[in-house]
Amino acid sequence: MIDQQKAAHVEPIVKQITVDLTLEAAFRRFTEGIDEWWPKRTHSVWMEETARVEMQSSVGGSLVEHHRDGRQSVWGTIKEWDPPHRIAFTWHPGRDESTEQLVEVEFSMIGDRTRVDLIHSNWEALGEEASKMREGYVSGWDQVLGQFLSI
Amino acid sequence: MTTYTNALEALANPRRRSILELLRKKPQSVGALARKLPVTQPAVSQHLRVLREAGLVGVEQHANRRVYSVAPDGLLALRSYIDSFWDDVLNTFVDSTPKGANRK
Repeated sequence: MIDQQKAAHVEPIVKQITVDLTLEAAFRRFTEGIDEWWPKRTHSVWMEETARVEMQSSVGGSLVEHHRDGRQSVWGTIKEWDPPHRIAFTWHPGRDESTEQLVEVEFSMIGDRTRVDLIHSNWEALGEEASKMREGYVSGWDQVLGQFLSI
Repeated sequence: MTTYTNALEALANPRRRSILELLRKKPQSVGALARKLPVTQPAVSQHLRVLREAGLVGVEQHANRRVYSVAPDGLLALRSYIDSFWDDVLNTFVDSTPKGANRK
């Protein structure tokens, strides 16, 4: 068999959007209002069976998905909480936290609108979990990440 | 047409991931792959067919042998798919902005 490869550096995903909200409103909507907009039927662990998504608003709080039967799936933990400018949270939906990546979100005012910058990094954490990655995924998208994004 | 779903399905199989890993290190023939893996040559050929159909692997004829290698396009399709996770999420965030905001 082949030897386990060292996880190579994987470029972060960087996204930027602008939204017609004030800084405070954008921050609030992204965080405490997350259930109102997160596409939970398609981007979640339980998909159609998901009741709601919750972001607990302080450092150490969780980003958590609630199944309608009461089960919870923790997607990550809040690492930075600096309203209305910046949040950072770990990211391991459907997975053990040893595979956690990092998502940073920054809010900045552009005139009367708000720019949102999202950086998703630390993909290397997935690379060494290759064998585990075959089971229990959120969806197919991250199944092969650690190994193959770096090619 | 290369699609990410084909690529994801192809890579859901651990043996095919091993094959891709080997090709990533070095383009090589079916025989060379079969010698490095605990599987028969026909089985390797079968896996290679799936990988090729998924756009992940390409093949070139060198004299009397066929040499397989990683095809970057299939991996790019995967990468775009993965990137699109956040596009989808953030677009929902933008689109859900309550009406009445001064949308331009």
